[in-house]
Amino acid sequence: MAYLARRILELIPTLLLVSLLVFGLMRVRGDDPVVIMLGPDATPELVVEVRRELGLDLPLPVQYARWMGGILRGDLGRSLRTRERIIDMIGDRAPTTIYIAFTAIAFATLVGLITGFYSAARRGRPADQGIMVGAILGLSVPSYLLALLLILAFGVSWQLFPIAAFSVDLRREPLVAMRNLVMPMLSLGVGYAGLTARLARSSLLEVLSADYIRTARGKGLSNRRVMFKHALRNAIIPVITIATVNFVHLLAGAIIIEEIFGLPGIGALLIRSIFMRDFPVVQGVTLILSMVCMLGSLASDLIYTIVDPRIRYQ
Amino acid sequence: MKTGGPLTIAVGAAGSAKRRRAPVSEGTWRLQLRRFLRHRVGMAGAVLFFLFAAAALFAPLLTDHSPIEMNLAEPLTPPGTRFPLGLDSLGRDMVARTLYGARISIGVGTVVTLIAVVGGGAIGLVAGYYKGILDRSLMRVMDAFLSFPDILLAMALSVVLGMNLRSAVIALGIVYAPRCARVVRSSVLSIAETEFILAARAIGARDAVILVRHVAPNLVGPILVLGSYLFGHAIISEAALSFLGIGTQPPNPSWGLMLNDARRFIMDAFWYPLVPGAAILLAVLSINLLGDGLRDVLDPSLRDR
Repeated sequence: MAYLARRILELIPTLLLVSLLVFGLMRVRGDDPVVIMLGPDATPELVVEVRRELGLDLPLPVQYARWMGGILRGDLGRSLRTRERIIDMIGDRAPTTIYIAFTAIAFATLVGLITGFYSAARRGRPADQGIMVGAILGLSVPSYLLALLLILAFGVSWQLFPIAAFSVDLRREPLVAMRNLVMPMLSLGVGYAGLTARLARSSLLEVLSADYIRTARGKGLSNRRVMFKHALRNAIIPVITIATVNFVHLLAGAIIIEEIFGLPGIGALLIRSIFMRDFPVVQGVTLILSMVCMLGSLASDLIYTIVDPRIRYQ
Repeated sequence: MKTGGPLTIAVGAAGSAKRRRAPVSEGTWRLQLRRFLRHRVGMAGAVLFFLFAAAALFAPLLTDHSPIEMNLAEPLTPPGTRFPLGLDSLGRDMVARTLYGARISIGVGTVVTLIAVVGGGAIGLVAGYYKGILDRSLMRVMDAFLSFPDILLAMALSVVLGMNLRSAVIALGIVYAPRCARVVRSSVLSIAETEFILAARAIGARDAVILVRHVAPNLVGPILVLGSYLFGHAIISEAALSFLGIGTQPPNPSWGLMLNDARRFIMDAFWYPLVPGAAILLAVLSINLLGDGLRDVLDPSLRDR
C-alpha cells in the first residue's frame, strides 16, 4: 500500500512536467490559430476581438494557470473550432479507439502466447524456426503497411471486409462492428503478436531451465504435466504484464489505423485538430493519452506484484 | 509505427546488461566480430542492409530517371519492360523514387540514431556516473518524455518544428534520446561498481579519463544493439509521419508519402502500394535481423531468448 501511495505521489511531478511540455509545445510555433480559423478575409479588429474572447491575449503563464485550473476540475476547455467541450469530444471518440486497441492486444496476446509457447516446446525444430521467422516478419511490418495490404487482399480483391468502416461501436450493431474491427485489429495486432511470441518463447525457455522443473521431471511427472502444472503458469507472467503496457501504447498506435480506415476515434480527432491548428484539442488529447500511458505502466507494475508474490517493491 | 512497447522489450534485452563485463581488449572485439560473421541470421540482415545503404548512396548511378520529374501522359503505368516498377499517379518513375526514397529512409535512420545515441547517451553517462540530485532530476525529465507514447510525441514535435523532413528527424531524435539515456545510465551504474573502475579511481585517474577510457568502451555493446533497433524504428516512424502528412513533404520520394499516395489509387493500381511497402518491410527486416545478430553476439546471456 505504501508502495502504491509513493508511486502515485511520484506521478505528480512527472505529470506537471508533461503538462508544461504539452502546453509549451503548442505555443512554440508562431501560427495564430485565430487567423487560420477566421481565414484571410478577417479584419485585424475581428482577429483581436476573437483572440480576447478566447483568452489568447493573456500572458502565457496566465493561460497555463487557467488551463491547469480547468484540468483539476475535469475541464479541458473548448475546441477553438466547434466550441464543443474537449472532454466530451474525447469521451465520444474514446470507445472506438479502445475497441480497436483492445481487440488488437487480445489477438496479439492469444496468438503470441500459443505460438511462442509452442515454439519453445519445439525448440530448434522446424516448427520453432518457422514461428520465429514469422514473428520477426510480423515485427517488421509497420501497422499502416499491413493495413493497406489487408485492404488490398480482403477489401479490394475478395471483398470480404469493408475497406472504410464508420462504426466499430460494439454496443450498437455488434455484428457490423465486429466485421468492421477485423482489419484494424489485424493491422495493429500482428506486430505485437510477433513481439509477444518472442517474449513468450524466451520466457518459457527460461522457466524450463529452472531447478524446480528438473525436480518435477525427476520425480517422474509426465512432460505434459510438467508443462501445464508448473512451467506455463510461470512463463505467462511476463507476457501478461507486458500486454498491459502494450495496450496503452496501442491506444496511441491506433491513431494511424483510424486514419486509414476512416474510424472516428481519438487519433482521427487528433490529426484533424493538428491540421486545423485547434491547439486546445491537441493539448487535451495529448495530455489524456500520456496520462493513460503513465497509469498503464503503473498498473503493469502492480499486476506484476500480484501475480508474482516474490516481487516486492520497497 | 510501433510504439514504446516493442522498443522497451528490445531495449530491455540490451539494457539490462547487469552482468559485470570484463574490461574490453582488442581480442574481445575480434572474437565478437568472428562470432557475428558466423551468425547466419545476423549476416543475412547485414548483407541486406548494406544493399539498401548502397542503393541509397549510388541512387543516381543506378537509375537515369529523376524521382520527381512528372510524366502526366502516362500516370499509373503498371510495371513492365519500360518501367520495371511502373509509374506513379503523376507519372514519376517508381524505380527512381524507391531508390531515392532509400536515401531518405537510410538518412533518417542514421541521423535520428546519432542524435538519440549522442544526446541521450551523454545524459545517461552523466546521470549514471555522478548519481545524486543530478541523476534524479535528469531522469525525471527523461521520464516525462517517456510517458508520451512515441508516435504521439513524434507527431507533436514534428508539427511544432515545421512539418517537414528535418522536423521529423529532429522530433524522432528527441523521442528516442530518453530511451538511450535510460539504457546508458543503467549500464554505467553497473560498470561504475566494477573493480577496474575502483582501481582507476584508486590510482587517481580524473573523471573524464575514467569516463572516456574505461566506461565508454563498455557501453559500445548495449549502444550498438539499441542503435540498430532505433534505426529500424526511425524508418518506420518517419514513413508514418510522412504518411500522415506531417513529415517529409511532396514531391520528395519518402516511402511513407509514396504509400499515402498509393492508398488513394488502391482500387486501380494494386501494384503501387506494394513497391514502397516492400521497400519499407525489407529495410526494417534487415535491420531487425542485424540487431538480433548483434544482440546474440554482444550479449550471449540473452541468446535463444
